[in-house]
Amino acid sequence: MHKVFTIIRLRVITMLKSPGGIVIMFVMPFVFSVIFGGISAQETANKPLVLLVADESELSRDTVTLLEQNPQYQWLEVKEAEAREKVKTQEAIAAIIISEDFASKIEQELPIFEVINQRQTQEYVALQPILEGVARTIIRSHQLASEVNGIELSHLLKEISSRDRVKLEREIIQKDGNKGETVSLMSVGFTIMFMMFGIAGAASTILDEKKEGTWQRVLTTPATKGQIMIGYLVSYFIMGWIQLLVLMIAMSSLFGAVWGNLGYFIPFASIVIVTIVGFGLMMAGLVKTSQQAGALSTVLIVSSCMIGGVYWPLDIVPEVMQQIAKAVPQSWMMSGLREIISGSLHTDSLVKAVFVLLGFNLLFYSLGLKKIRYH
Amino acid sequence: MVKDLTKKFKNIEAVKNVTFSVEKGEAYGLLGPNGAGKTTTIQMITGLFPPSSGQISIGGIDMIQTPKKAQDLIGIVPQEIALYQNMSARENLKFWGRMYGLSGQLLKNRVDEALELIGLTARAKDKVVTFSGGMKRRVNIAAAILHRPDLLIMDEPTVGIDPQSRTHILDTVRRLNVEGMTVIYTSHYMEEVEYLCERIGIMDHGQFIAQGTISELRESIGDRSRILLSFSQEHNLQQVPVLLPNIDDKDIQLEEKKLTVFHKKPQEVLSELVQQVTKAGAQVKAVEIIEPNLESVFLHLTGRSLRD
Amino acid sequence: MSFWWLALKDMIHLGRDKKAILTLVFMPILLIGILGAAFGNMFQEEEAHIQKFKLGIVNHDEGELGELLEKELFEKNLATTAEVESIEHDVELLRQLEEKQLSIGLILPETFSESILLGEESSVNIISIPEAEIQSSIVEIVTQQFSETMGVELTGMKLVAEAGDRAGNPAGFEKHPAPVILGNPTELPFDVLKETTIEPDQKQVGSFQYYAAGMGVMFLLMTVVNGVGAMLEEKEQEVYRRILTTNLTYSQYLLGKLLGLLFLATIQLAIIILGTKVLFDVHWGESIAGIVLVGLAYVFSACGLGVLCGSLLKTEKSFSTAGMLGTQILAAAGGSMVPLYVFPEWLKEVVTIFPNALALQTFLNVMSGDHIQAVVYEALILILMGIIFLVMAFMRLSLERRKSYA
Repeated sequence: MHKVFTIIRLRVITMLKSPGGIVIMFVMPFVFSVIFGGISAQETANKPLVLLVADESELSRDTVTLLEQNPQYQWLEVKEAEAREKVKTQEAIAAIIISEDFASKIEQELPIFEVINQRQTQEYVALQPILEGVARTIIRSHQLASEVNGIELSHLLKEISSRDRVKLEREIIQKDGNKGETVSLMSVGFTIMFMMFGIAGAASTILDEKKEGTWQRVLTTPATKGQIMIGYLVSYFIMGWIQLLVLMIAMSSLFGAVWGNLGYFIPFASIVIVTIVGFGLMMAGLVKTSQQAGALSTVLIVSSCMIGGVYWPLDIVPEVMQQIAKAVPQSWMMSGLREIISGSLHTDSLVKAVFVLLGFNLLFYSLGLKKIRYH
Repeated sequence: MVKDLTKKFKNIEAVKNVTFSVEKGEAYGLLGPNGAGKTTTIQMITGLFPPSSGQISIGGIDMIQTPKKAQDLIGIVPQEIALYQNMSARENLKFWGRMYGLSGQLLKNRVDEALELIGLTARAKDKVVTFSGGMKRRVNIAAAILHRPDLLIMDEPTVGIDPQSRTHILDTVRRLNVEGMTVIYTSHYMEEVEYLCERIGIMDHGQFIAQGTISELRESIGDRSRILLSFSQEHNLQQVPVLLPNIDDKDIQLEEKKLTVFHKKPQEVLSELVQQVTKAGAQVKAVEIIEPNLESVFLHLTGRSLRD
Repeated sequence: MSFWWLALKDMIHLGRDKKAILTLVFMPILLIGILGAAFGNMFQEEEAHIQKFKLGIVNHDEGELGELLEKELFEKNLATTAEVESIEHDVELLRQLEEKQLSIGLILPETFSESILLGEESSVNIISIPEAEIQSSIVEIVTQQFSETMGVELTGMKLVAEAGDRAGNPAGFEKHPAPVILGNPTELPFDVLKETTIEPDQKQVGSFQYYAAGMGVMFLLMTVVNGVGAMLEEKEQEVYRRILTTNLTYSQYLLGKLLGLLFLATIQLAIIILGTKVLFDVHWGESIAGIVLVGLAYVFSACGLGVLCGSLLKTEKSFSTAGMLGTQILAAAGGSMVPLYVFPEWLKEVVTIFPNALALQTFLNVMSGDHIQAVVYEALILILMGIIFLVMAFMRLSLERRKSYA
């Protein structure tokens, strides 16, 4: 036991003393938190900007009012030239030109809004139904006004805009059957990716030790292979937790990020870290130098993150890809963390995630440990 | 004790049927050129990996069956500087001491002792990466003796270091041996082995080609000296053995610019040798007479020098 | 010109290293493959591919609008997207959500119809399971649109009634008339939106293009980091010291290394661009020259940055892990993974000094149809960045040299 502790202590101190060690364990998680923490804070903080170009006519005014009612976007009225400029520099995701004479446009069944856009990002795609909704309102109002005597279009539009909107409260189901506030889960994926790079890199130090000769030397001491391996693996586990802790503390204090029920979070996060350590170990067994290990694990980490839904949500990929995503540990890690952070804590999902991750662990460790030899 | 040790690496027999034993308190030298299989043999003796076949026992404990028990009795000074470069000398020693089960005050004492022995007490707090080659090797040795092993195994411990450090190391090892530590010392530096060891095994191409005390080995070549003639130009000396009927063909070795002759009484044949050779047309540049030594033994056995 | 030989040596070294070649060629293709699989189909489809999800509705509404929403809209019109189930009680709904028998739950309050009629606020709850963010949005949009459409109708009715009243003609409108639904409310009679780009001849950039460019930019950073890592590894070996004793000067050494790196990165970029173009028909813009120019300029500045980092760090070990991490963070902050708007303002400012952000935006511009003239400015900035980085690296290495070898 004493020997195990000795090894753990050695590894952790070596890491802390090495030049890159402090950077990886403390600086990088901190930098990461600063950059990505903002995402998890509030989604409402950064609403995409949509520009409106309209003339002074009453109908245009009414239309602008209608559009501005939508709380999902920031709306700003500008002149056309400025609008084009701002869309070009990506300050705004789109500019809407409200045509001067949409009454006749409607009659001729021509487009009412001209939308200037460069990039079809997700926010832009979400803008369309809103525009269509307003358009629908206008068309119908126009129809009513023309068909029915006594209804004046502008008056109608004003009445409509003076109505209160339906308030839609979006919540996430909680474990106790209640509802809880929605939490942004975008940064969960990035956190996982970050940890994969950080921890898998640490595990490749075994390769450096083989080069130095210290690995072989440890093997010739009375310490058993088991003691040695446990010592190493536990030290990697500790280092992984240090990184995660720095991340958690930074994000909580800077952005008020929540991590859900810690009673669930800590064990699950531990499993995640153990899985990643296993991955690193497996990598170390497959290559000769730690530089090779770095290159190989980069390939695997990036591609598995892509497949697993870290960089873009799985909802937008084909069914086949969604199924394939289940073959990489990231998707399960995210599923579990999502359950915990959002408070949903769906037992079935959690249990499944845990079992699958344990399965991955089995795979990684058996491959990795098999390769642990003197050479 | 090592018996019939064989190790195969992918169809190459790195070590073939090696057998030798070392008495307690003895200093045993393992000599041979690079690639002879010394390190592999050592690695098996220290329990790094098991042999393909054969037995190893250390102080009566079987290394193959119960490696960890046997390893407790051994201290290893490996060929590489197997130390943690970013840690200080003291920290390194403390770590390795712990790995051998030492702790607390005892550990502290032993570490202080060892630092004193290798003469690095003043630099104990400095990181190993700042040490010179010689100093690193000294720490390497210290790490091996903290737990006062019965057997100290040293694999080429003086490669690439300055003469001062080398002398220091040799003296240290001598001292330890005198105090009762059994030592197995491998090297391709014959002078060191001659200085430290009583009994020697000579390896080449994975096998033992000779074994015994230094005097025994010398006698195996008939306790003969070597006459070394160097020439200024290449010369065809094929007929020389014919010209020297008194001397066995076996005892003459020809190279392009060198002629080696083994003889018990070199002074007697020297002048005739030079005469005959000059008559054959060769220009003698230098003459050397070397007392019987291990290099000669090796040369005689293999036709090659230890440093090939 | 001995730095040419240095570069050549590196190339030969690389050429002999089978593993390296494999990663060189294999990685970008793998990348392209995954991208294609994830986004390839999107090219044909108009909307995002959303799996059918289960929606439970608890309708407390005292009026008829709730039922209308449920039946007409959800059950009829969104039949392909949602499977709707009517549920009696809130508790039951929550229970089913908890057990993930439903993906989304919708609770309509008692005053739903009333509020819509009177134009007052009413509170509707949309409850989802954690992974159903997009589905939740869909339900939100549909409900919103419904209430807006109803609003129009009812306001219209109200005004007509008022007009009728004024004309002294209390037309036979009941208190709560059944609203006229304009056919299928999710269909519009004609195209109301005309999408255009800034310049008339430009095209909009789709998701696949976005990610191809984004991932491509990120990937190149990774290549540079790997290359610099190898450079550092060499520095640690004795070979480096030997090189220093030859006729090779410092700047030549840097240049040689840089050349090798440039060559490598260019090959990779070419593979990515050609691969996505040929295999998946990803459109990289009208101007090949523009793409090539930006590509080379970016490669140059990225390599410069890489060499600078390499000169600053002592060991290969500290560089490689931190380097990879840094690459990911840079790439993400630069917009390669998620669009920039999610990041805070100050970050967007900071990120402009990183070559990858600038390169990504410029690539996207070219994809929209910018011609080479439009991107020359950005290309020059990138090249300038590269030069600055190199100069800094050179100064740093000279300093180091003076310190340790003097």
